[in-house]
Amino acid sequence: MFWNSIVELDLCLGLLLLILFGLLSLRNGHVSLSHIRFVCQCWLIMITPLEVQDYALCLLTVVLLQSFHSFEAMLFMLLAYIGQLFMLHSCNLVSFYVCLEAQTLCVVVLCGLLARGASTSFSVEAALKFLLLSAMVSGMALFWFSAMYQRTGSLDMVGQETFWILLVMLFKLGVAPMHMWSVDLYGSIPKSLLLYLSTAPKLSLFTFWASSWHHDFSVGVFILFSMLIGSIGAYGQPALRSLFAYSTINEIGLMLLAVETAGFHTLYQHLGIYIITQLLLWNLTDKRLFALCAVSLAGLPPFAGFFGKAWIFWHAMSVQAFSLLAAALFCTVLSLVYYLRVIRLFWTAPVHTAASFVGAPNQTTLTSACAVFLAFAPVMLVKPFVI
Amino acid sequence: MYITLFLLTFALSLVFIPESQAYVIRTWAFVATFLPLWAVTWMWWTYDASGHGLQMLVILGRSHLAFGIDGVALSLMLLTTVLFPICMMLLRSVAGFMTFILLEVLILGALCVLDLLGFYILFEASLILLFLLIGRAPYGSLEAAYKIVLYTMAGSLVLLPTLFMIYSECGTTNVLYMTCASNHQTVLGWGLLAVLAVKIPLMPVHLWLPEAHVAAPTAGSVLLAGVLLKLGGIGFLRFMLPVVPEFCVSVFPLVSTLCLVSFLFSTLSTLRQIDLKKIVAYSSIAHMSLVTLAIFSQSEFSAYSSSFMMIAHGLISPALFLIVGILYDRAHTKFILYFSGLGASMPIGSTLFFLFTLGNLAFPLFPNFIAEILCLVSIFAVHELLAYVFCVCQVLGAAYGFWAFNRVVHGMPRGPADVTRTEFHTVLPLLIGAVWLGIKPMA
Repeated sequence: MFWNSIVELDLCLGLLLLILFGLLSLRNGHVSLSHIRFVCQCWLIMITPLEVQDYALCLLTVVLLQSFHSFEAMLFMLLAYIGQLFMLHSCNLVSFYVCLEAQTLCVVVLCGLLARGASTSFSVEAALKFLLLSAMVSGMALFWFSAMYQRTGSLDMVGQETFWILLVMLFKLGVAPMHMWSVDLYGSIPKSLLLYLSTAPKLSLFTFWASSWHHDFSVGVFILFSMLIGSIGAYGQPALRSLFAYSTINEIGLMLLAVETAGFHTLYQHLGIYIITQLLLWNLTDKRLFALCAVSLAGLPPFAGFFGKAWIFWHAMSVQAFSLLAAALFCTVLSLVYYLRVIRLFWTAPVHTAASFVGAPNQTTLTSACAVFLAFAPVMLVKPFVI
Repeated sequence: MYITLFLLTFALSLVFIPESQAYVIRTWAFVATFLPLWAVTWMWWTYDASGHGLQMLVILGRSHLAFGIDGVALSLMLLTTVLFPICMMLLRSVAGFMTFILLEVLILGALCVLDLLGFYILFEASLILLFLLIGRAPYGSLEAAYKIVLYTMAGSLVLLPTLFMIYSECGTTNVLYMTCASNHQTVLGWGLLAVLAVKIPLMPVHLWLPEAHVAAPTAGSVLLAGVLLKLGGIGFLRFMLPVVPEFCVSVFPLVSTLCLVSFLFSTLSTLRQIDLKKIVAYSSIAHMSLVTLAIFSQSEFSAYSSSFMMIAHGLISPALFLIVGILYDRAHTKFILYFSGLGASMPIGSTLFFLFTLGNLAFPLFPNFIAEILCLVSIFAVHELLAYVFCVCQVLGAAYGFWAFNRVVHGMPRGPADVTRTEFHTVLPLLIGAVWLGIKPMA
């Protein structure tokens, strides 16, 4: 089920020490929040990696920890990280369920915990919605797992009917027929949690899908649904957050296309570019740079987003998934409309920078880190030509 | 070749520096657009006109990105670098200068890149810049901006899987090596035709052009008419004919029908237009349909005649747009019935308008005449009836040209001020080019 029990023990002891350290230092008053954050990040890097996928998740969580401002929030982030880490390697239905629930419940608590000032009721409402919906889906999955146990007597993930695991995962990703929660949630949660929610679950779930689990059920229906709803749903949206929630649904559809055509390398490339774009997007205060990020998400050359999409289309072409590819191209054109709307609004209106958010220094670090990673054109430009 | 792109990126980076002083930026941007002009003139000087192949090849490393020029591309690059200083003279804002310098980099790159993926990336990258240019507030129209981007994007997303197919067929997207696509010609051909037909507007997908021209500022219209339509032409010549020649032959009936319909419809539509810019825009569609027909006829003169027609059109249409822009600056309207009797108060302006209208109609002593004769010759070699029909239909071109001229210049005088010296100097290079090429067209 898990790798070695010694590593597991190490993890738990480390976490316990962290909790003690945090509580004691908060009481002490001489230790500031940035120290605690640094300790958390070090702990993450020390305990984790045995494989590349763990590294990616660890790096992402380290980056995300930058934007949290209270110890309890960081603690729940770390607990969610543990859940994701173990989920990446689980090959047993129960461990998958436990880890998935661990990260989900941590997200729910974070939604309520990070409520600040005027947006308290929104955050709590979002937390409740997410809790109810995900509890329902997970409950159905648990029922199915127990039914399978009754039938086959084993809890192994291999060789079972995989439909319900698929459904639970697709729900957590925000794939189309089950996407309603993400649109509402994206609009009501504070920015640090938004950064987490749009990047980390997707990374962990897709990594789990690509490396530890084999699905024998075609997700073509979900792809079509996601892309169509993601393309057309954003047309009337007045709020930026919900607009980009729909664009996320579109992108998830595209990544499902990559999984469906078994192009996992293209999946990871596009996912990487997407995560960096999301981190950059929600950290910017300059309107024009935001519009440029939107252009990258839309998939227009010469930005990196084009190359992520182009690789997925390339792979789909080479495995001859023509109808899905045609639908994907069509939906890309459809989604271009609302990206153009964002660009038009942000470039041609009188330019004034929006108010900067609370906690500017952390934010600047994050933004500059992303901007450094995201040398938009040159890195990606060289690649297609060098093969 | 390296020199051109290097000079341009140099210009680009240097516009970043004095952000606050608009006057300095303006002067520097204007001077910076002359640098590619010198570079291209040098390339013209060292070009060996007797060679048949591509020259000045630059192949980057072990990648298949390659740049090179042939006669068509060289003449189009010269046209581009002549048009850009003219555009710079018309711009007023820092954002405008940056947009145009970026556009110049992209377009010059697209004209000399030999790689289909590179061509795709470069001309797609200009789409967002065009969107911002055309959608800009004072006289921009959002609808027009959406149209140009969505039409071109839809066409190019048809090209994208085709590109991948070419790659998996031939192992490269470099046009120097792409001659092995013999069994998938139809699909590849349709993919290429889709995007290039949007760009060089052919009949069903030409609807973005009139609106884009009306909504664009004068410099934008000059650029669109002078250069961007030619990207489609060079796409045909460089990417379609070498790679899918059998498809081109088999699709010639369809394309020739589309060209003829496009020519007739746009010429006849012009007679009912009341917006001066739309008149010139529709005449652009007509000329480019003749270019497309000449390219697809694949006869002895076709490449030469179509490229000469592109140059000629690229001199005359921007000049007409400049004159319409001058009128618009005076009256803030392009409504044709508003202007009348300009011959009395704008003698220089109406002389220029007359000369360029004659050029538009392919009057002798103008390059369009020579170009058109050559295009008709190349079509005649393949399909005589079509050439006869085109000859007859050229008269319609005279109809709208003289009608527009008559409405604007003759009649009761209403007197805007005459063409100023600055504006005259803006039009002057095109006038010199037109007259010179008309009398002495060189190879």
